[in-house]
Amino acid sequence: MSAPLAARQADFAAALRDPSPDAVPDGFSEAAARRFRVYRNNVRVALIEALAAAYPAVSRLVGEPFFHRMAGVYAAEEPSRERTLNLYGENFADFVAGFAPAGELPYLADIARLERAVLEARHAADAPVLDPAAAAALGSRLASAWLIPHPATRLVRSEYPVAEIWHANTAEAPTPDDLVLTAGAAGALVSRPALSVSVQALAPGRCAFAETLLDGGDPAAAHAAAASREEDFDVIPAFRDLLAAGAFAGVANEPGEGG
Amino acid sequence: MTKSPVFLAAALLAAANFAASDAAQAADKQEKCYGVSLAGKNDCKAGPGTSCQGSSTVDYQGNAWKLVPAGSCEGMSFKTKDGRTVSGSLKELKRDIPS
Repeated sequence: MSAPLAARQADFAAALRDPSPDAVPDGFSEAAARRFRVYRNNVRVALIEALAAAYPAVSRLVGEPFFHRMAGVYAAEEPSRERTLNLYGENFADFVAGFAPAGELPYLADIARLERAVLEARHAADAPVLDPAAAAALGSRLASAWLIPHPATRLVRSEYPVAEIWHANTAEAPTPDDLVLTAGAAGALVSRPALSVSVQALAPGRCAFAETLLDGGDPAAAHAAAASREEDFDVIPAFRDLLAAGAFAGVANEPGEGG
Repeated sequence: MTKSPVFLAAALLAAANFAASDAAQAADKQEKCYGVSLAGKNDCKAGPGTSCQGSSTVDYQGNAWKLVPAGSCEGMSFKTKDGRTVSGSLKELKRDIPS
């Protein structure tokens, strides 16, 4: 028991991550080992529950028992690296993409990406949303203005209708009987207008439009990108919906000018 | 289509004006109201040392807020279990803080 602290901590951490019941830190008595197993189980359950809370649609799509098994494998591979579990599961979507038993649901990893974006949007810093009137006040300079993304705004690209699948599988929005999954989806926009997170589906033109703007391109460049994806792209409703979604925090004439 | 720069500028302006009038209509539909949520029913607040969704532990906790229709917060009052009458506030309150 006189090993240096760092070595004992490393040994403790290794035993914590080892799923086999025999793995206990060196030098633990039988009584201590018993209590250690209880603690290890609590850690594991807490991580799985944090994932279940962050990925409710994924859990609903595969069913709770499957989700718990999948989350348990992830939790054993990825210990928490933060003091809180609010943002635990950073690369869970990548893990889901490579999780062979879930291979029958090719869109599952993209749903996980969307739920991660929703989680990040929920926890992103507070910032005022760009007032559309301020954008309008730029007049003809608007086409070459730089729109500063809101800290909560996320774009999730997917070939699957992830926004519709997500809406149909979250408790906040019960599944409509007439749910139609549109082909040719391109992604989803996640934003946080007025303090609650919103998710909207983006057709290819709108997706290119939003992506260019969020990457720092001006509206003229964004329009060009959108028109090249979708011949009859209509910029008016696309831009109106982006502003209404609170996707931007401010506007500047040049990148780096601040809002 | 919207190929010419002049047309594009006009379209963008129209979109911004539409969004501005939408926003004006929807403005201030909700406000953050402190001290009115039941334990565990508060909405989220981000930032250091603050509470988050569902984390309040006492009824009408003074530093936990809930979104309510604008203008209704300060008119709300409730009887606590120990018989006090408390009301909502747009600012954080010192009362009913869990020890």
